[in-house]
Amino acid sequence: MTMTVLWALPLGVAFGFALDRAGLTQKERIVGIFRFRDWSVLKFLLSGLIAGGLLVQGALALKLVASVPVPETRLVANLVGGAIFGIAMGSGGFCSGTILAAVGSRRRDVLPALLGLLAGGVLGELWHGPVAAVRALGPGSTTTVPDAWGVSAWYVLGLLLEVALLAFYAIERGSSGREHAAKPARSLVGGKEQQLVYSRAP
Amino acid sequence: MARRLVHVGVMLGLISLWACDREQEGEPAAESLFCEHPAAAPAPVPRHPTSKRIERGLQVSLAGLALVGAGLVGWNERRRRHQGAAGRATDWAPYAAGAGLGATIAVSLVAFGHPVGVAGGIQQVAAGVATLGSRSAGALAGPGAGGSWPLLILVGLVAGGLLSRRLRHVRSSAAVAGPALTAPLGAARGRLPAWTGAFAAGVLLQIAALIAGGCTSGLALSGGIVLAPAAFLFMLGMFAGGIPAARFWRGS
Repeated sequence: MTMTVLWALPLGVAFGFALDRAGLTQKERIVGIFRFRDWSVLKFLLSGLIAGGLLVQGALALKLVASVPVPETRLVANLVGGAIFGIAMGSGGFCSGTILAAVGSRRRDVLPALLGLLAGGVLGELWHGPVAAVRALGPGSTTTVPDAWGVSAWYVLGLLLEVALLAFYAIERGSSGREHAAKPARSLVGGKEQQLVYSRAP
Repeated sequence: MARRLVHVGVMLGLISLWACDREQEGEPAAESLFCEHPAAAPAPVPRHPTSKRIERGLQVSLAGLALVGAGLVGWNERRRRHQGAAGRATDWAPYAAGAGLGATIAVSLVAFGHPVGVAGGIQQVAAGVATLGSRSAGALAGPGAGGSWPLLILVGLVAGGLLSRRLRHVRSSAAVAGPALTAPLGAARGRLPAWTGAFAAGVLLQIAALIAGGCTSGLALSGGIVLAPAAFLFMLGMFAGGIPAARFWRGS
């Protein structure tokens, strides 16, 4: 192991910090997106996709790197896994990353979920066969969307940007602050947080 | 507070500079259900011929950026507190936080050739636990699947949550728990203790990530950033499963 791997630490810190500061360690925020009441998750995801996509495509265009790792696309596995993931996320109000960040912010209520993650991992090891069988369904490919469509990645990014901007516009205009319905207002009394007040927008 | 942030920044910088002096590690591609490395490609991610030098430059630049970023965050925190932030939320706009995470993942992909995922690290830990009970079960994950990177991401993730909490000046652990939500599954109807719902959801999350090939960050974001169809399919499935689940357990 060389020391480059230590870079994972500050990157992980930034990851956890961003999740906590976006308020995504709060269950109500996560559930809110599935109930169309709090759009923070969608804003967070789309902003991340656009910002990261622009940087990666910029780096590729500047030939800083020849390629970046592309996860394998498995139609059935991605959809089925995503659906189960969504069911768990919509029920529990957290995803894998927010559980860890919430553990960091000393939230005891996510500890059972952390244990659940580990138990799920152990089950996954024990049921390796069935899991691998679902993953093996259908063809697999590491082709990206621009490659599949035969267009430049910038077009796809532009399309994504347009979709994101339209979504942001619709959210900000349509919800008119409804996404703040579950936003916690900190109550600092004497420099010490006493309680969180969940205020509903008028 | 500012002093603490300077310490964090200096620490990050030192780690970065230390890391920059070392060669790019040549970890073998992981034999794993995850696409931490492109699972289908046995060879390491092909890099540009001049990438060694450029990578070093990138990493040195990152060290500087980490310092500047930590300083900016500290300045912002201090400013908000000095503005009398009592009663004001210290949350960032989701746009800013999302863009920050997107940039973080992009840096990880470009400079290090690794996605930023959680489920891979969890699986490594789980594989270790499974090995205690059965050697053959643990061996399924392959030796050192994904290397130390996913594990260090987990450590950093927890540390990031802790740092964010410390900067909020929250002392009581109950203060950030928010209102008690109705726990999912049976607990929602008062038949089971609340923790069982969270535990069951955690189990499902990890199994789902194993099937899909990653979690929200490792597949949806890290994959979406490189415009992989897998990420968009995953998100489609996620909303298709999440919307009815949330409505079923939490009401419409």
